[in-house]
Amino acid sequence: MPDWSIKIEGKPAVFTPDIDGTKPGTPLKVVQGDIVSWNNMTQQGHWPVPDDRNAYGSFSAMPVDPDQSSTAYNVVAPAGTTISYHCYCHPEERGQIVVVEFGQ
Amino acid sequence: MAANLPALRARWFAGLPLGLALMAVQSGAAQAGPCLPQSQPLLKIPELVSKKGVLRGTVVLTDEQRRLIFRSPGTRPGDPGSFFDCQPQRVRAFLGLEAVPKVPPSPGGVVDPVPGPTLRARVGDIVQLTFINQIDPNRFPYSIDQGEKRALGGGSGRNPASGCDLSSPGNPQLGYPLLGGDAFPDCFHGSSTGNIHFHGSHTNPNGTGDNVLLEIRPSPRDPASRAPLIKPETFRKQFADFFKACEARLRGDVLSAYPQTWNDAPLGPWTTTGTWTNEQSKLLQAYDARTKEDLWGANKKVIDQNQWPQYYIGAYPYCFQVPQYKEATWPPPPGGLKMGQSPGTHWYHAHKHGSTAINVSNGMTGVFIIEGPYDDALNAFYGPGWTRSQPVMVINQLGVSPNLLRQPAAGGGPGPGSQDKGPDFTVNGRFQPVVDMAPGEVQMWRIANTSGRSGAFFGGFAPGLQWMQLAQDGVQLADVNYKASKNKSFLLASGNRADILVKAPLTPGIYPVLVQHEVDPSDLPSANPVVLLQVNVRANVPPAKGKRAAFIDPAPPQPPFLTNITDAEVASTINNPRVIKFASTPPGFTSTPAPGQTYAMHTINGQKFDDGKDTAIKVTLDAVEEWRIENWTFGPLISHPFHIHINPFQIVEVFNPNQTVVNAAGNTVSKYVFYDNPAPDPAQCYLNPNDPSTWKDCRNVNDPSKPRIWWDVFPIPSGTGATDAQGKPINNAQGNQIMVPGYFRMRSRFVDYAGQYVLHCHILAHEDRGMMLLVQVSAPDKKVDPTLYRHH
Repeated sequence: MPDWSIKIEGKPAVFTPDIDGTKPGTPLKVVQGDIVSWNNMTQQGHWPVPDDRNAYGSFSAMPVDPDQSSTAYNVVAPAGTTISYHCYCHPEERGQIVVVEFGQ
Repeated sequence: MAANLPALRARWFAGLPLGLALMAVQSGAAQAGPCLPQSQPLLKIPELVSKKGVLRGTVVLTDEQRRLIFRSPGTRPGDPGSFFDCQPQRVRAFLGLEAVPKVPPSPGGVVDPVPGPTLRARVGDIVQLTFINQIDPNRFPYSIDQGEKRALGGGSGRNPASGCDLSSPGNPQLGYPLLGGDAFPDCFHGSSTGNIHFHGSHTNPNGTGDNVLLEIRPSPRDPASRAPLIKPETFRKQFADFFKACEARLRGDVLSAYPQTWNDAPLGPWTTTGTWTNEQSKLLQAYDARTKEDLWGANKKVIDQNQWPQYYIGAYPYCFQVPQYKEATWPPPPGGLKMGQSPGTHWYHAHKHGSTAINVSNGMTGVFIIEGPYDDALNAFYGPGWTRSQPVMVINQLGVSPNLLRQPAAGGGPGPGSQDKGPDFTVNGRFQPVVDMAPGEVQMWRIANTSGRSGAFFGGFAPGLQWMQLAQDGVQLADVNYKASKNKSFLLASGNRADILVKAPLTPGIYPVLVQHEVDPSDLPSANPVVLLQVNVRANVPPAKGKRAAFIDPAPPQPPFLTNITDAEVASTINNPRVIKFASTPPGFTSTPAPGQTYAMHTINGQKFDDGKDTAIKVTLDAVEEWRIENWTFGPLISHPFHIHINPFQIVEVFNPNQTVVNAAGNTVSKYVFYDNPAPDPAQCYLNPNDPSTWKDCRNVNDPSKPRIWWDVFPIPSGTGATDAQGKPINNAQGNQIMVPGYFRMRSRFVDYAGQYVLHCHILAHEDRGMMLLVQVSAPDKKVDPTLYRHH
């Protein structure tokens, strides 16, 4: 199953899937089993965390330093789930991971 | 199924076993356009070709977005109900800057996978490759080598998981590596670090040769533009001077181990401003300052001992010779080459311990064709330049992170996103491509199974296609073996190659070539035949005539150094061989995953690679030895593909205790039984469970008059537990079932090149996780690094 990287760019930061031609802020579509990481391209630390940590746990154990990528988050949520997340350091910075059926 | 499949194939499929079908390729992927349609022409891979005795070029390791195919559900390839989807994936890739022809993007500007450039040289040539690592590691999950940081002590040093890639479903206790039990350095890690293994090469394993212990980190990047700062031109002058000096050394002495230290000019002295080693020392110190690692410290210790260090930043010059054996007979007179490079189909791939599986799966593989008298003989028969016009086929299982980085299923076993037996095979980055042939034409296919996991069992060429095998693992077959290979099924385990002559039928149409994914022969009864590629016998071209429609006869003559290794050569090692034990423990998952449960562990001689103990196999240069390679894996069955670098080997016995035979009544029965002596069926053999000396191939015929085949990868048969006639375990005095390993015995000449290299399992996730061992070949009269390389 695929691996995905989400760029953290700008100030305030915007989360954008690292896929050629993708508009800033576009939600990432994944399927169950995919792996997601965050690529911090800013000069600040950021820490993407799910809005509902009881349901989805932690994406990574620590903040993503500037010019670093996060560890891998293995999506286990089933299709039909939308994982909304925000930056723990900057709560106004928000993104989404949408879990779809394979092939959708 | 693609709409353009002719009816002929559909008819042929109708006669095949159930479950065999082309599977649908989905369109409308989540974040991409449709897949590239099936039945694409076989891609011509760009080539770097040697000129005037030198193979010169630039190989850039970069990250690129490519369209990959994924199979769902994650069951076996070819299972009914499977279908495919394509997604834009960021992968690590080898690019050949000067390689031609260039591959244009697919329609819509999408980039589909392309193997690394085909390298084409000739025996006697010098290889001069500039290797540049421009990966942006941040485009992947955090995977920077951390071993040196661990060596500095502190908190990370106390955590066995530190240094390993981390993958978590939200709770690290349920993620990799904590759940799997892997520890650094025998875990997945460091996938942005690069190097190249020239698989099948018989050359210098040290310095700038086939040195897989090198770790070349990515170039630093410009903070603003993110562009890599080290470019192909950055060290062009230093490398050009070095390549010139290297060529002169190797032309003067084919066995030269130059360069051996960082003081060897013109790459050094490292203390002289402007030399490449001086620049590397600065880059390493800057890297350490930025990352809090200690690469420079590790290198400096080695440099101070006048040895070749392990760590580099951004760029590396590979320079070695493809040695040509020039004598007309064997053995040669004293003082010169004892073996030489076999001309044939070899290959290259990423070989950074901890990331070979993901890098190879990403597509960091390519073919290394070494031409020689073999090609001359074929071209004399088929026509000038014929061999260069023939298809080169790179099989791979393209994908991204290994299964272990994804959480297992709640009840144990593969979880969502895992793929049993790995991804489906592609050929030259394409799914089920089409090879055009004229009616009756004979083509030579150079096939390399560069997959990191599955073997490809070729058991199903479509009726009408005929074939004969010219070479195995880049080494020509003797004529008798060539003739015996006609239309015989064969296995290409991970890492194997075969050159085959394929003859098309006269009737135009589509003829599929079917394979089964195999990691153990026991897979085959239930493995689905899947289409690897398709032969299109064209209707609009005249049939081939004359030699172009004939199998060459006899096979091209072998080089004289490919003589059988005799009993006299291996002398005392026949009765006292080195015994090397590969073993996989079964996974510890028996219920809902919980901390403390483990994935399978993979060891050699009870150890994992580089665990701090001196476990290296020590051989004296020019020794000729017989080894017994055992497989203590009992379930799930895995025939670990044994691979050793630098020198090929011959097989003198294969013992597969799980082997089946067909008896006189036509029934399939176990070849070996552990009860009733003599065995109940004449087709069977009795093994005494209490006498290991009987655990061998009861019908082994090691006929020294028959030329043996040379290999550099060979699957070790799995082991079995002894059972009685009722299938109940036969126990030893301690009450444990008697376990009988599978094995093969091989012979090899450890000649020409001293130094350090490795043997390992070619299921590369096993290698990354520790199933690798150093081989140290020492030469009393040569200055060769005697110390073990360490990961840190």
